[in-house]
Amino acid sequence: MPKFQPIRTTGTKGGENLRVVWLALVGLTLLSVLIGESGQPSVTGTVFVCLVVVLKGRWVIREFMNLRNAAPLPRWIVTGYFLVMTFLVGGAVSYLQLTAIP
Amino acid sequence: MWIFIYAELTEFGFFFLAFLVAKLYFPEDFHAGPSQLNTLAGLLNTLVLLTSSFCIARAVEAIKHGAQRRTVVWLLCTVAAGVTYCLIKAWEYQWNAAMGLTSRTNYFFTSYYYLMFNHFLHVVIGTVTILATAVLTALGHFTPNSHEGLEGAASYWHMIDLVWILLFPLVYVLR
Repeated sequence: MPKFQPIRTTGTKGGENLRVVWLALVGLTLLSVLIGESGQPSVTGTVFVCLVVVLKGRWVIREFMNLRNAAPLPRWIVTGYFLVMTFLVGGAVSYLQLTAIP
Repeated sequence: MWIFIYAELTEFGFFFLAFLVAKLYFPEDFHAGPSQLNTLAGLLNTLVLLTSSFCIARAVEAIKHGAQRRTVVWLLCTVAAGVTYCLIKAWEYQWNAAMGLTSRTNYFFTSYYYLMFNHFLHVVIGTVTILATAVLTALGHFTPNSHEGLEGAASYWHMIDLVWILLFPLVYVLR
């Protein structure tokens, strides 16, 4: 089995970028829970939470999965899946909120 | 690997659709359900999974730089995150049981347990896979020029995280 010599690298630019994305993802998660849990359910709140979900998914797909530099087809399949699913969730929840009897 | 990931995403897509259809048919159960859940457990697991995705992304970056030991450390951090997720889930299920909430409570809880258990199974499979990947890395199986297996395992783990990013607001937050 071929052996390779480990190269010591610390604090790479890529690692720094990943750390910033991770902190942003954590911040967005806390913000969306705060909005979603405060007060009565509303369409505005639902739309905000769905936008946060789309943004988080986009960052995971592009930065963590590193699909930003991948061929367009796999990138669009995963991104498209996430967009369609979030749209369906947002649409269904908003519909129920609009038609709910007070 | 990508065909497998697409198949998994399709499976979860059907689960999401089933959940939404049930939500439209039983709006009262699904309106009251999320506020009965342990949101803290859901939030903690979201943070754990996001952190695990960060760890495995660092592992992939490390192997590209030939940093074998650092790759193993990041992979083991991912495994630790997977185990933490399972422990939080166990606490959440115990908390539910103490509150008298089971899969037979109403349609919301039936859907909740079905979705959560499926995702939990994927986390367990992913954790075991990442652990095996860490062992292979420690044995020198992956190199900067040949690490497709590690990238495949990482993509699978990111898929688990992606599903949870949508699952968490759908089940715990949106009413």
